[in-house]
Amino acid sequence: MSGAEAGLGRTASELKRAFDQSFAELPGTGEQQVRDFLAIRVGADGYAIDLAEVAGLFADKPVTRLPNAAPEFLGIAGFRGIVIPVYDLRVLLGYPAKEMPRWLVTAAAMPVAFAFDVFHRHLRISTQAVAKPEGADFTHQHVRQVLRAPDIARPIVDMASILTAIKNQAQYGAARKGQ
Amino acid sequence: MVRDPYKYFRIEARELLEQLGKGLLDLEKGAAGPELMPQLLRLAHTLKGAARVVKQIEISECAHALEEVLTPFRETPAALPCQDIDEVLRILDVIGGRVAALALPAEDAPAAPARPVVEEAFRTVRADVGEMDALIEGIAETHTQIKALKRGFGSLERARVLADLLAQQQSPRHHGEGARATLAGRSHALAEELGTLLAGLEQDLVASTDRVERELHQLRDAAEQLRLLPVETLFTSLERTVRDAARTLGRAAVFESRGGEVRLDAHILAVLQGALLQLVRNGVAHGIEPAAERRAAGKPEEGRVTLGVARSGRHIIFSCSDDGRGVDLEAVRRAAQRKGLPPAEIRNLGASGLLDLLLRGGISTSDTVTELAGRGIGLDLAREAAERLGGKLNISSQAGKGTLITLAVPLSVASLDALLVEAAGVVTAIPLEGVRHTLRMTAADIVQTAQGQSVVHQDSVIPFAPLSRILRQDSAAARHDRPWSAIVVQGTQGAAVIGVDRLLGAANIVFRPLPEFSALSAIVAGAWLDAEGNPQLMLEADGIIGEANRAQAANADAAAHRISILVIDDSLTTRMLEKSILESAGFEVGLATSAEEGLEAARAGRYALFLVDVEMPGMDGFTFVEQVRADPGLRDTPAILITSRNSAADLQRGKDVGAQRYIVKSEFDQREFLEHIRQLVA
Repeated sequence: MSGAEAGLGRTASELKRAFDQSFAELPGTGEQQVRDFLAIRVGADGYAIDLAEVAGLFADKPVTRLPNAAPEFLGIAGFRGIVIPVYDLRVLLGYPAKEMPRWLVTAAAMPVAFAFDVFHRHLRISTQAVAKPEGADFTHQHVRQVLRAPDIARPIVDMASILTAIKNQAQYGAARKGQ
Repeated sequence: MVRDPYKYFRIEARELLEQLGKGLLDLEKGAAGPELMPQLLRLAHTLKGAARVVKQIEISECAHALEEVLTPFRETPAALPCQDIDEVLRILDVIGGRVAALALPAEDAPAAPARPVVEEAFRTVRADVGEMDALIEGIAETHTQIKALKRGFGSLERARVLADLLAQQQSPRHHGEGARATLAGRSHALAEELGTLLAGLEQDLVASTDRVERELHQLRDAAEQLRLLPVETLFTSLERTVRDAARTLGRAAVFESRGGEVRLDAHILAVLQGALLQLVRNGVAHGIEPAAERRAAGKPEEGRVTLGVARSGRHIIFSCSDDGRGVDLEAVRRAAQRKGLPPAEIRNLGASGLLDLLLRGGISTSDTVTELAGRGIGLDLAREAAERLGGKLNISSQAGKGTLITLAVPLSVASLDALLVEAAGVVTAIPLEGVRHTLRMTAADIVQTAQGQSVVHQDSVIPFAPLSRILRQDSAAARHDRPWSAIVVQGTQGAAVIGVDRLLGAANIVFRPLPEFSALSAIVAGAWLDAEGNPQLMLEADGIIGEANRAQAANADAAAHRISILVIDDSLTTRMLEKSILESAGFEVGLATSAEEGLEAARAGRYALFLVDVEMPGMDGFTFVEQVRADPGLRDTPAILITSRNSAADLQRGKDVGAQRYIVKSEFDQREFLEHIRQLVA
């Protein structure tokens, strides 16, 4: 084995060790606990959605409208052969609905998608930055927590609360089935 | 996962048993050709061999016994005695029982409650070989097309080389005095070659991509069809049931079927199989009279039990009829008495009331309990199956003529022929069974009658509405005098003419109900996926007609004053839901988010009715109604309370405060709701 080959061999083993080591370590070891969010815009305001509550993010997905539907119900959309109802996050959060919003997230907990105006970016934030709303902060029924870091302040969309409202509405409307 | 050693044997054995059973029934009816007996022997032999492979010696011996009984009649199948057919059917049942009892591996064993054996049989969908071949050919064709696409990679590489050459020639170092003219000529030639190459490549890529897309679309349709089963899959066991029941009771009865080609989701068939078995068995046990009685009544000695399967809108209708004696209404009365129903109530019941009682369950018209009838479980099973699938059971009967029981269940996934149409840029499907005619008409064909817009078609005046308006996607753009493509839609409630922009043609589509948590619509039966995988709407004929009538009425009323209703509810969802229902019914709607705001709005405006939620922060709905009743300007305006509280005390309080109606959310029914409102504002 030449000297050059031996050097190459050493480099390869170092790289291999470093690669293996990166998998052996627990993610986030020694660092503070973090949570991932999607920063979005609904109406004129910025919001955050907990990434753990989201199954997928989509842009420009065609949504088929249904006649006579309530304003918060935008229609249905197809995701890999599955048809899912799409709700308007703007109406659910009390904003006026205009044209079909561009962005959609699908919920992780049940087969429902939510449409909103703009996706800004991914946020990784310390869990300590998640707080209860204070005073005249955001007092909407679907906002129970806010992100408050030095450079960012956004209400967090309470996905669970919205999903519960949709479930309740489905029960209410179930009696109309079959007509 | 633990391997299931019997996985494929179960499938094969069930298929062999079904074919053997069907063959024997054909043999018994004399409907068999000379090739049937050798075929039955081959099936029995295959079963014997398969059972041996999985070391099921008892099943193998049973199959051997089948061969022993059948072999002497290989050449003379018609000579097979009746008792031998009984014996073979008995052996088939024994084998069926053993196959069903084969243990599932622990991990695959269904968790409690155990999946019924009949449903288990439908977990495996049997595919037609021709359909499978078409699918495989389609996949092969897609591969070929992808190879054609890949051929384009070579051209792309050449194009890149040419582009590089061009770029080099344009570099300044080549731009010496003497070289300019030569270079310009060469560049021009290269650019031309590049242009030709790219044009060819573009054409090839577009054509290949189109072909792949088309092929994949067909493939998906074919694959979706594969998971649907023809209803006739059930018919052999139903025929066998009729035969056995007739044999046991000493009656003569045949089973007839219609609509076996209708294809349905296996899940529906699995749930319905037990119910249908009971219904045809009931047909024989309760309906078909003994031969002498039939003769005396002038009927053919052999009774008929018929199962018809047909699709109607978003439902599939199973109708089980017999030409027997009809339901003995007096026996229903006696059974009701035995069940302890108040005699006065029973006396007041008419025929339909008694039949409803029978449907409600737990009552049998048979005075004696036999193996086949008398426990009243037949209809109970059918009712349970209907409930489980969200369907409805109906019964009608005529003394001496027979009984008809219909089971209507909503479709989950089904394929059906539909007319695809486009209106205001939206493509929708209308079931072909609801399309009576298509027309080409001009604005002059639409007449304005007292009821609104109509079209005269084949001497009848039929309401007209543009589909875009029915779908609420009318951009209000005037059509001027452009001609309409129109469809005469026929439903159970009459007909309507629907104007569309284009008729796109008929297609077989696989449609599914709207997903859970969707808004529901009377016009929309479900959705189907277009070539891009996006859901499109499938409309319902009756819904379209209802909406066309409403659109017509709304047109006629446009000039008349509109009735205003004030909706008071703190929930945005409920407010909007009620608003959309009321607006579709032609009312004007005012909204208030609290009782306090509602009182202000009520005093400021002129409303014909208040629709009030009971539970609201601040003033509740009861107090709101109390205050309205105390207000001289408002006291005569009717009020409806809507609440999730359904206790008798709440109901009484609603009455006490002066609400005209009290609607419980869990019992909400749109038609009733609108009916209440129309009565109160009339």
